[in-house]
Amino acid sequence: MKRLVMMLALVLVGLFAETSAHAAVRNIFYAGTCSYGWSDAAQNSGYQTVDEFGFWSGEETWDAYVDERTSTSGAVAGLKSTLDQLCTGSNSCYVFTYSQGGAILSKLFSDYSTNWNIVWAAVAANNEGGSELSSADWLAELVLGCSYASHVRPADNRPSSGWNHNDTNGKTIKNFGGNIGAGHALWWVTSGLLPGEDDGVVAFHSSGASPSTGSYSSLCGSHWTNHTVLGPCGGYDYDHLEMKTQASCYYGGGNCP
Amino acid sequence: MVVVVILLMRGGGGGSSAPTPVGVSGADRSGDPAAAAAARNGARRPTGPVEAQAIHDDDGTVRARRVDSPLTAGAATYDPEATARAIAAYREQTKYPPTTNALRSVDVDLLDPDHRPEQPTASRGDSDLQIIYTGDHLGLTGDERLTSWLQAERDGQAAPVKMIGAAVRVIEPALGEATPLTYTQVDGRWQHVLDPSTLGVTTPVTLGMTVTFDAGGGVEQRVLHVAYTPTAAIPARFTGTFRDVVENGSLVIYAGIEVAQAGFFLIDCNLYGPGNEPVAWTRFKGDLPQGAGEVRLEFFGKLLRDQGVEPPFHIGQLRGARRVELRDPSYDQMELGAWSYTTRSDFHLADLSDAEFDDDHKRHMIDLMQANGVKPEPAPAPAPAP
Repeated sequence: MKRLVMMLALVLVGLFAETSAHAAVRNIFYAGTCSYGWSDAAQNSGYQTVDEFGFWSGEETWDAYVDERTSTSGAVAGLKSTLDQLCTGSNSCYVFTYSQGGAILSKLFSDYSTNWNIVWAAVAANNEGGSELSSADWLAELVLGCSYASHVRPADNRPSSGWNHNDTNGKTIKNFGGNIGAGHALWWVTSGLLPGEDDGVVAFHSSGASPSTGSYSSLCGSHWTNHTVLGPCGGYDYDHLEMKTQASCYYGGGNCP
Repeated sequence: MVVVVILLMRGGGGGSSAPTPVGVSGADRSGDPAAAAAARNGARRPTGPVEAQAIHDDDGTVRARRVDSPLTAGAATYDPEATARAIAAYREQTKYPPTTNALRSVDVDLLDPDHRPEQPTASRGDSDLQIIYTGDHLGLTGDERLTSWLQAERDGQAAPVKMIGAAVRVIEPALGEATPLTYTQVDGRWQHVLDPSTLGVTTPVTLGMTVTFDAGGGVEQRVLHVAYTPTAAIPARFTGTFRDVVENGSLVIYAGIEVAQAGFFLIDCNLYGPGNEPVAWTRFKGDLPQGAGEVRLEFFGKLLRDQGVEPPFHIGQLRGARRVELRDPSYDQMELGAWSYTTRSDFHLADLSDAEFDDDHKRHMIDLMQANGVKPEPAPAPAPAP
C-alpha cells in the first residue's frame, strides 16, 4: 500500500512538473498600419530606429506576423490565430502593439468571445479611434504601396454597429500617447490636420481611447470601458514613430525611445 | 519630409511578401525573419532552434516566431504583493460580464452610434482655414439616404469654397467605378443627398465619397467613408416585440428578430432610467439561426444595482450586424431603427442579484496570475522640479 501511495505521489509530482515546465509567460509584439510583424524593414536604411523588442527575464518574446498591409479583416484573423495558439491553456500573455495594431486588437476583442489568457495589452500611439491623416488626400496618395493606409480613418475605426470598443473581453488595454509641438518637424506638416494635441499621426482622441472624436488637450479624460492611459496626461514628447517602444519601455522591457 | 511621413504611417513593418515579414539587414542575409530581427537588436541574437520556436497556420503560413535573447535566460521573479494587487484589480474590472457595463453620458459612440466622427481640420495650404466634410449618417441600409456637406470657416465665419468636383465609388470589398456627384449650395455650404440604392450594389460595401475644391488654400480633397448594406443583404430585422424577465438575478430583455441570413451576430442595446438617464449597455454575441426568434439582452444584476436607478427602464439604440470573416466591410448591417420598449414595473433593484460575475475563464485567469505572476506596475515618475 505504501508503495502504491508513493508511486501515485511520484506520478502527481511528475504531472505537476510537466505542467509547470509548459506554462509560459509570453509577450506578443506586432505593429501598425502597413506592417507585417514588429520589426521594420526600413530601419537599416536609416529611417526607423525604434523597432526593438522588449525582453523580460524568464519570459518569452514573440514576433507575431499580423498582416496590416491590405485589410482589417485579414489582420484580425491573423491576430486571432496567433492568440489561439500562444495564449491559451496554462500560458499567460501580454500584448504589446502600436498604432493601428491597437485597433485590430480592439476589433478582435469586440467581434469574438474567445477566452485568451491575456493579462493585459499595452498600446503605444493607439489608432483605435482612427487617424484624420488617413482622410487627407495627399497623404493617402503618398502611402501608395499599402492601400490599407487609407482605411484607418475615424469613420473606419468607429462604425455605427458591430465594433463596440467597450467590449474588451474583460481585458485591460493600456494606452500611451505622444504629443509633439513645433520643435518637431512633423508638427509643421501634419498637426493642422489632426484635432487637438497629437503625435503627428494620431490625435489624443485616438491615442487616449476616447469615446468621441474632438480636440483634446489631455489624455486623461474619458476612456472606453477597460481602457486606461498611463504616463503623463499631456503625453510623451515623442512623435508617432518614437512612441513605438514606449509601452515595453514603461514595463522595463528595455529599448526605450 | 514626404519619405518621413510614409515611413511613419508604415508603423513598423513594410515587408513586401508573406510570409517573410521584413527586409533583411546587412548584418543578416539569411532570409529568416527571426535572425533579421535579432540582427536589428544588436547582440540579441536568437539562441535556440528557430523552427522549434515558430507557430504556423494550417496552411503552413508562419504566424509568429519566438525571439530569444540572453535577457530572457534567467528565472522570472515577481513581487507577490504586486501580483496580489493585479489580481484585485482584475477582480474589480471583471465584476460584470464583458458584454455589459455602465452607460455614461460621455459614451457618445454608444449614445449616438450613427454620429459621424469627422472634425474640422486645417486646409492643406492655409492653416487658418478650417474645413469639414461630413454627413448625417455613419452607416446606411436599404433605402436610407446620406446628406453630406462641405463647409469652410475662417475666424469663425463661413469662407467661400469653389467646388471643383465630387464622386462616389465602392472602395470595399473591391474598388469600383467612380460616379460623379453634384453638390449644390445650401445655407452657405455645399450639400448633396446620396441615395445608395441607385448605385447597383447587391452586397455590403464601403463607399468612398470624394470632393475636390479650393477654399483659398489651393486645390485639395476630402474623403468620406460610408458603410452601406443594400436591402437584399440586410441579415435580420427586429420585429418590434419585446418582453423582459429577471433571470438568475439579472434583467433580461428578449427582442424579437427575424433572421434572413443565419450567422454570428453582434447586437447592441442601451438601457435608460425613468428620467432618460443613461444606465447600462449590453450586447449579444452569438449565432442566430434563420427564421423568427429572440435575442437575449442581459443587463447584469449587480451592474444595475450599482447604478442605483430604480425601474422602469427603457431601451434605446437597438442595433446589430452579422459578422463576416475575411471580408471588408466585415459587417452586414441591420437597420438602425428607433425601437423602444419599457420594462414591466413589478420588480425593484432589490430583486436583482448583487453577486459579482463569475465564470470558468475568470477563475482560470486568477489561477494563472497567481501561478505565473504578474508584471509589476512601475512606480510613478517623480514630479518635475518646480
